[in-house]
Amino acid sequence: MTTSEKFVKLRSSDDKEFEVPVKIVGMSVTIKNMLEDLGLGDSDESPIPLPNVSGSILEKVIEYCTEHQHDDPQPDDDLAHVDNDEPEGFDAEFVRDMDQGTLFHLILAANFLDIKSLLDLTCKHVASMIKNKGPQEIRDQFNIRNDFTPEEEERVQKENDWTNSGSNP
Amino acid sequence: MVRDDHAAAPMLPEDVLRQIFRQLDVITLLTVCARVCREWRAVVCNILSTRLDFSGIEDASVLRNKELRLALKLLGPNLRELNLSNCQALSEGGLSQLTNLPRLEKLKLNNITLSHFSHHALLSLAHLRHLELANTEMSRKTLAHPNRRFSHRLALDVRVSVSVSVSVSVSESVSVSVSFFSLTKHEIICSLTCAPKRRPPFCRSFICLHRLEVSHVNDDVLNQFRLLPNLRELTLVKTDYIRYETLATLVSLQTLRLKRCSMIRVVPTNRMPEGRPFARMLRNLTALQELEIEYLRTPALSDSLISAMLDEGTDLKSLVIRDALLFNNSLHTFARHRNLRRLVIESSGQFTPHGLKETLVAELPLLEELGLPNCDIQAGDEALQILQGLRHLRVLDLSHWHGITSLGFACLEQLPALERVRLHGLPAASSSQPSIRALRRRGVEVELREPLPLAYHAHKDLYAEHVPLGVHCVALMHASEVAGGMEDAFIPGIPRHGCVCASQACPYCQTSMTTCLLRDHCEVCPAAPARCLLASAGCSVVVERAGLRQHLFNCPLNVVECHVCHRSIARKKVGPVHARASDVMPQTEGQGRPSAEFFGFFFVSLFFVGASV
Repeated sequence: MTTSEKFVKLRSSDDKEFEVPVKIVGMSVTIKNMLEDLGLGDSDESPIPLPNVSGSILEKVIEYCTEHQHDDPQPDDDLAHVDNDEPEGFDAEFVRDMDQGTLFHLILAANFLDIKSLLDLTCKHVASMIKNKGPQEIRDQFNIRNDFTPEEEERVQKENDWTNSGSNP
Repeated sequence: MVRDDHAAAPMLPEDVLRQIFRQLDVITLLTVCARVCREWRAVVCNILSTRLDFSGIEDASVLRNKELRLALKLLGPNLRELNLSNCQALSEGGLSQLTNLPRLEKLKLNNITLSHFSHHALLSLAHLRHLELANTEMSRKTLAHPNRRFSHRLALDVRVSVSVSVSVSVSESVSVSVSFFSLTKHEIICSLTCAPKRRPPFCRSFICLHRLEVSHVNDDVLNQFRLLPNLRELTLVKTDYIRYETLATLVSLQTLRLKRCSMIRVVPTNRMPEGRPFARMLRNLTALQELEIEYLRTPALSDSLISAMLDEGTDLKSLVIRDALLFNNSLHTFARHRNLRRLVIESSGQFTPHGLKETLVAELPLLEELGLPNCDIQAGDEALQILQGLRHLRVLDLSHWHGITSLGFACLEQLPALERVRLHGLPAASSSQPSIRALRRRGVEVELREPLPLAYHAHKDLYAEHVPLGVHCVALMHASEVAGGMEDAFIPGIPRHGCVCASQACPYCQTSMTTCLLRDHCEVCPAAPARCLLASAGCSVVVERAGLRQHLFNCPLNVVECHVCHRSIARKKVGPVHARASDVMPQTEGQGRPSAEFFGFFFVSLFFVGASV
């Protein structure tokens, strides 16, 4: 009970401050390491600066961590959690209607803060957005510039278009 | 999608991109992601350039020669691992591409048809260390070549391959593992015997063979194994009709595994009590260090029989016994083998803590690995307290023990050398025990989970079913042995002097054979009804044995391996995340294209419609 009383302050890139219980913040390996380096006792005075994460994104991260604070930490052993099902419940809701900018920023934040389950969830969502699309659709979706030269483009077009050549042998 | 979102979306760094691509299947990566932009292309090449696995793709007909060529061209010549299993659309032309992969170390070509495949492509792979050709149809000469050989150590797997010639020119290879599963006895003998008419490569090829797994062979075949001077590891599966004298001649053996071999039981006589022939064999095999006995028939191997078999002390370092019925008495016997470092007694025992103390702890204090999974130990806590005396224990398996409380778990902490504990099948709450946590913190690997229905075991059985039963009258064979003064090897239920068994037709396939063979035949008869091999996991399907393989391929309880993350997952749980899971089961027959017929019919009817109009 004593640990849940303790709070840490986090400061986002746009200078918003959040007071978060230590237990929730501890899901981020990065912050956990920081706290351990600083020592837990005196950290409640000065906020931890997170220059890579904006306020709105940090809010999302905290929302996710609050929901998952009671989860057991995922063991590294691969066999221990074999069922990697589609996200359900809160997780599915969490990413469903998220706009793409937020999603990508969230991935970066999860990557920076080292929250494995959140990174997994968001990466899976992006992967599902890639599935069953063509290259041009993906470029449109993610706003990626086609940086192949025209000759390369032609070569790339010819190669590996299996779906057309494979279905009518 | 609002345009502003796009502007706000940042570029993802490469490691995140890798994480995302790991969720996608190999076809999507090659055909879509590689064509998006330069960065994506580079990341795809990076992920796939050393290890390429097509075995799990959903529609194997997509991968044809041209596609394989393009993919290999894209990924460059640095490929180390290539898996083309199940890709039935490939032909010889596509596989000749392999010559462009000089660094290939691991190649899997399971379950494809290679009727005219030239061995030259394989022989040009100078770095190949691991080759799998299981369940592959190929010409007899595919791997045989008198002058060119694989020059490195090569692990070769040719299980269930139809008529692959075993005269593999691998004489330089030190570590060939060939499983002769689908070969008939005759073929093995031909291959191993250096017939004077034929100039060897045969004999030379096998001089280096050191690991061998065979099933359903008989004494004649076993006799030939004497020609293998370097045979160190022999596994006999379902091999019933051999004699211990013959086995005793294989003096180079270091590891002997007897799996489901009923020849373990020998009818006792006055002069020769049961178990004595086995003990005599052990005395002859002086180099033997590992012994594994698994006997699945009823009645189980008894305490007294095992004790008689292992009566004399040997230099055995490892002893594994599965599915026997043992008591404290046999522990005393095991304790006579003073050099034992590894003792596994699986599903076989009823021991008391006192028994463990008197034998294992008192006599074998140097044990490094102890497994008593699924054994009936009265008073688990007390037993664990006693096991504290084994100070050198590194691996301990206590799966499916009952009645272990926090007191017992605390004893585990007292084992100083412990590296791994298996506690499968214990209540999930055990993992939160403070002692277990303490062990984990210490770096001890604690395995604790409900066992999955393992498709591997199913797999093993299916391999065995491909084996043609070596039909000959066993009893007659033994009669001739008796005449020669050798009377040890007897199979219970079979008369000693000449076969008197009546001929009888198999109720399922109507093949007629002697009754002594019928029992074994029914176990493998393709027409006999068989329960799904995952029955223990809850599948209630009963099909003809011939259809079992097909059923297993679709059985929702079977386990498939995700080719991206290599986790084993039950098929019914395969969701979009693991959508391209490759089946552990090789897939062969029954996967034709029904649509061809359908379209034919469709066009014909269209034609008639047109004509009538």
